[in-house]
Formats: sequence, C-alpha cells, structure tokens
Amino acid sequence: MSEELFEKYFEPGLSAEETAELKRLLRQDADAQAVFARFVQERSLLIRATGQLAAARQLASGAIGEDPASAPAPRAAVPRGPQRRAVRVRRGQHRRVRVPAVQPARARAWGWRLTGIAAAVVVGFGLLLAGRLERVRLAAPVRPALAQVAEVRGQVFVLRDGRRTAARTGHALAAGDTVRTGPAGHAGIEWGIGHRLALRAGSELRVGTAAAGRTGPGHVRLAGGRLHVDIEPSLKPPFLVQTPHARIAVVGTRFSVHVTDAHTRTEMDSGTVRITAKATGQDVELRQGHYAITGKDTAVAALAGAGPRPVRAVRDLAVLYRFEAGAGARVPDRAGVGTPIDLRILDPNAVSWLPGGGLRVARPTTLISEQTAERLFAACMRRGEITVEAWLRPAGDVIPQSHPARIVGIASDPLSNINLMLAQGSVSERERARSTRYSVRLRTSATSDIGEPSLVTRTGAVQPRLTHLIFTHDRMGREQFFIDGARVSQREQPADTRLRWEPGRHLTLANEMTHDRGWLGTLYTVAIYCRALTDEEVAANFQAGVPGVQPVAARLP
Amino acid sequence: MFFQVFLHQKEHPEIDRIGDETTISSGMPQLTQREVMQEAFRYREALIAYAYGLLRDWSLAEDAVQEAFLVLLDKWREYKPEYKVYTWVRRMVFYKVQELSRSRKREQVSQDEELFGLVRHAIDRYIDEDAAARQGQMLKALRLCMAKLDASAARILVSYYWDRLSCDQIAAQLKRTVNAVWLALSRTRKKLRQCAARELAEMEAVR
Repeated sequence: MSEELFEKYFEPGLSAEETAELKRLLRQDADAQAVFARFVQERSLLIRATGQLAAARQLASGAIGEDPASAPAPRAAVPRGPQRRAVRVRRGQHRRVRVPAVQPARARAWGWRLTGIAAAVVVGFGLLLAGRLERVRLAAPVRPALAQVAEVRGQVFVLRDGRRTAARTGHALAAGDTVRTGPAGHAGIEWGIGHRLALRAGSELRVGTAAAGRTGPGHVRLAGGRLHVDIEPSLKPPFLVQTPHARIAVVGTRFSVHVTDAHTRTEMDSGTVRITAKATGQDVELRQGHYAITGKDTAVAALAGAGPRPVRAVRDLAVLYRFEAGAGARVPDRAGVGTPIDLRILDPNAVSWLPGGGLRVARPTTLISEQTAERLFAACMRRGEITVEAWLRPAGDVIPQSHPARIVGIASDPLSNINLMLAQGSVSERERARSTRYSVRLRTSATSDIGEPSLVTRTGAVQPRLTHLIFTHDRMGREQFFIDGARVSQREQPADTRLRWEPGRHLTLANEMTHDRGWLGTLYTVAIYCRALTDEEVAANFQAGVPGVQPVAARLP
Repeated sequence: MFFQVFLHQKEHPEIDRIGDETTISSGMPQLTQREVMQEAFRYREALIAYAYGLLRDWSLAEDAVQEAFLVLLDKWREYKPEYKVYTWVRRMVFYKVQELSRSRKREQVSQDEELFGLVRHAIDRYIDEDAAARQGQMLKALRLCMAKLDASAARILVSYYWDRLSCDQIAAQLKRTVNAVWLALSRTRKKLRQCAARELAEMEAVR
C-alpha cells in the first residue's frame, strides 16, 4: 500500500489526498519513514542499473538510436476515454467497471452527430487533398534537374517558388532553387557525375543562377555560410561560384568558400581557381595551398596566398593518429617516438575510412592499443603534464547510455579506474540535451580513482561539425579545455597536484575497455602530448587544421 | 523531531550535535584533499539517491551531486576531522538541490515545503553513513541479479525505470493488461531484492 504511494511520489500529478496521506505517514509512522528511505535508495539504484542494462542491450543488438521494438510509445497513443474499461484507481490496482448501457434515443442522437462529423471530416479532407494535389500539380518541376541532394544531416530546406520544403536524400534541384542549412545542418549535393558540393551549417546556396551574362548548369550563388567544392576537371564550361563579393571560376579543383557579410574567403585544397573581385574586376589566380580574401568595400581583391600553414606542435608529442590508412583494421601511431602505439579496430565493419583521411565510427566499436600504453604512461608521469587533442566530427546520433561516450581513454574499468577520459556527455546522459557537453576526467592527486569531478564544457558545445578539442593539464594544477582554439572552461587544482595514473592500461578510442561506452562520429586526428601546450600552440594546432579538410570545411564523405 | 534526534543519539552514543551538523567527536587526523575526495566518492550512489528523493528527477539529482563534488574540490580544506564526510558532503548536495529546485522552478518541490522537509528528514534519519557506504555494493549486487533476469522481465524493468514509461504505456507496447505489467514489475522487484540480499551476503562473506 505505502509502496504504491511512494511510487506515485516520483510521478507527476500526486493528488492532494495522496500528498496528505504521504505526509501523514512520514510525520507519524517511523516504520513508514524507514521504508520510504530504503525505497528511495532502491529506486535510485534501479534507475542506475537499468540504464546500464539498457545500454548493454542496445550494444548487444547493435542498434543505434531508437529501437522501434522498444521505443517509448507516445503517451497519446494510450487509449483514453469512455471506451477504456480498465480504470486505474491507484497504481497497480485496476478494477473493471461496468460501462452503463447507452439509452437508444441518446444513441441515435449520437449516431447522427457522429455521422455529421464524419461527413464533415471526409469533405474537409477531400477539399484539402484536392488543394494539395492542385498545388503539387502547379509545383511540378518544369525545369530540368541540375543536381540532387545526396546527403542531409540536421535541418536542410529547399526553397522553390516561395515555398519551403524539408530536403531529403535524392531531392532534385533545379535552376532557381535555394538550399538552406540550419545551425547544425549539412547538405551534400551531387552535381552530375563526380562533382560534389558540401554546404555547411548556417549557409544558403542558390542553384543555377545567371552569372556574368551567362546561364549554365555549373553555376551556384553562395549568399552566406560555408561551401566546400569538389569538381572534376571534365566540366565544361567551368563551374562558377558567385558570392556577394567575388566570382570564382573553377576548373577541376577542391576548395572551400566562406562568405560573411564583410568578405569572401576562398581556400584551396588542390587545383586552381580564378577569382574576380566584383568591386574592381581584378582577377587573381589561386593555386593549391593559397587563400584569398575578397572584401565587400575593398577596392582591390586582397590576395593573401602562399603563406605557409601554421605548424603543429611536435615537442613532447607522445602519440599521433591521422587515420589516413584508408583501409584495414589498424590505425598506426605517427608520432615517430619510440615504439609506436598502434591501434586495432575491434570491429572493422563498424567503421569506414574516408578518402584523404578520417575514420567514421558508425556503430559502437573500440579502437584499442595493441599493447599497453607504457611509453605514454612513463613519459607523462615523468613530465606531470598532459595535452589531449582531437579533430573530430560527432555524429548526429548518440547511443542512449548512462555514461559519457568515450572519445579517448586510458582506463581498465570505468567504475573503478580511469587514468584519462575525453568524452562526449557528462554524467547525466538520460536527457539527450545533456550529451551536448564534452567532459574530461584525469586521475590526479586532486581527483578520484575515476578522475572525478570531471571538467565539463557548457551544454550545447557538441555540434555535429568538424571540431577541434584540446584539454591541457599542467604541473601548476591548471586545467583548460579549448574548442576550436578558444578556451571554453578551466579550473585551478592545487599547485602540488600530480598525475596519479595506474600503469598497464591500454589506450582506447571511441569506447572504453568494457565496450559499453561507445562514441559515434568521425575521427580525423587524435594526439596526446606529455606536456601542457601553450595557448599559442593550441591556436597553431587549430590553425593547422586537418590535412585535406583544413581549416573549416570537411569534404563530403 | 527532538525525540527522533534523541533516539538517534541513543543508537549512536558517539554522535554529538554541533550546530546543525552531525559530527563525530573522535581524534581523527586531518585528511588530505585526495582522502576527502576518495571518501566522498564512496557515498556517491547514496548521495544521488538523497538528491533524487528531494528532486524527484534522477538526472537533476546526478547534476546536484556532480556540482557538489566540484564545490568539495574547492572547499575540502574546510573539512574538520570531527565531521563525518558523508553528512558533510550531503549538506553540500542539499544546498545544490535547493539551488536546482529554485532554478528549475520545480513547483512540486518548492510548493510543498512540508513534504520536502519530511522527505529530507526520513532519508537523513534512516540512511546513515554505513547504509550509504553499502550502496556501491548494493549496485554491484543489483547488476549481477539483473543479468539473470529473463528478457521479458528485463524489458519491463528498463521501460519502467529507465525509459520512464507508465504501466499503461508498457502494457500497450507489450499488448498485455496493465495489471499484468504491474504484477510482473512487482514480482521482478521482489526477485531482485531477494537476489541482491543473497549476493550482498556472499560479498560480505568473501571479505
């Protein structure tokens, strides 16, 4: 009896009578107090344990995201109303009630009313359908398709004739269509055979716009945002990208364009483009490794090319993974220091290699060092400092689990021993919104055996885009977290704080040794330094970007 | 209330009341930061349950404890040897619970202060340091027992506690009656309790 009442305490809608009864019990009945206290403890443990069970089942089934078989049914789907005969009196006690027979006259009246309502619904639906059909007929494509949407992530819309529709894979794009991506949206667009565009978050691209007195199949206008272009040399006439400030003619190349209100920045990956500044008509030929900024009000297109890319820090680099192998089940350590700590992919079918570098983890698996990370242990313990760096792109989906999803880890048992953990999500993963934080645990003299309390970023820091993460811990006890070169959180530990690692642990990526804390997304670079990088080095590593992807646009997978 | 405190003191004669904090008047040496943190983490599950009892939201409860530990990291020097770590940290968790209650405007907690106080008192009184320290073991035992459940029972349990579905919703999903779901849930809980008690006893025996 009291247990049912205690259950109700944790559910919304505790009635006034139930509240009064609960108060009475807790005020007057010592036994009830004791039972209640134990009940709360038990319920809390059950939530914790079922969370772990749910994660284990999810992993065992190999499913990601919602499992249709076990997905929560929407509350509205539960039948309600007079036809429901089982009436709930109190949780767990349901009595069957007699539904009084409906009087014949009232039944007839209800019958007529229902018939009327049904007829109105049918007529309304018919009119609506007719209207929609008319609109569909009017909106039927009369223009030939120039391209098609090949990939959609997050919010992506296509605007045509003043109407906005959600883009889907295979969505045909005709001249005059506009593709718009939301704050976390991404659209991959295929243009003929072998030509690909990647429209990044918060961007707007108009297809087939007339340019320089010509119209043609290879014209787009980027009104704002970021676009990555990958064009095969065969396209004639040249592909043309227009921005408010510049006209960029492309003959077989890969490059990125970033348009803001003030300027257009063009960055070359390979090949050559010719940029014309609209303000002056001045031409600039841009080659591989160069970039140009074309301003809105500047009289001359500013060319800032040929400058070397910032160089990544190399001193005290302990391990470096570039994910450029392109195939296989091994990720080689490219740090070039001592014995390499290569990684093995436990389930190669769960990942895919990206051309040019990058490993997409599509299903939970573990990348685990082939031997224990003793070299890393010895070097970092000797220095007493550490930097963990990752270039990554989190997947839109997260695995429902009660723990932070591991990106980088050195641990034996997540419940009792964690030397290091860089993860997505903090301890509260039950609500999806909370998995939008990054967190770091580092086992030091100021933290527990599992490195808690963690250093966490703000909620919303995780975005499904190319992201640069750096965590540093120095001997003075200062810990900092950088995202895309900017410090987002920090804390000061006591100056005598030292690393308190356990030896004999493996290095793991994308999961924990227990394989129940999987992370999904794409890894481009992971590095660990046995030194706290300076702010300048953090900025340089960010500026250096990812080879082939640098600095802001990831190519289409 | 006074009577209950008196009873508590009778059960534990070493306990004094100093101000509003329960302390132990023994000559314990001052702990280091590491020791304080380690000691506090022993009670993590119990502290989450404590916060959960007050907040009625398990995620918020986890947050409250996490934030309390962050405070502890800064304030560990304020720890006095005569304090019990559990009650001291529990006080920090309580402050965080209050902050969260206010900030999240959880009316059902803040509106009925009397119920909030009664719940707090019941947990304070009946979950002492020893009981709190056993929570970690209890969780291990529970996990072992859950692994032995059949798929149907496990599914109902997960749906109810983790997915937060009501019995009505689970019944609709499984095409069973609501009573059948409730009975299955009750039976599973009972089974788990018995199994966990056995496992705990075995763990104690091994020690």
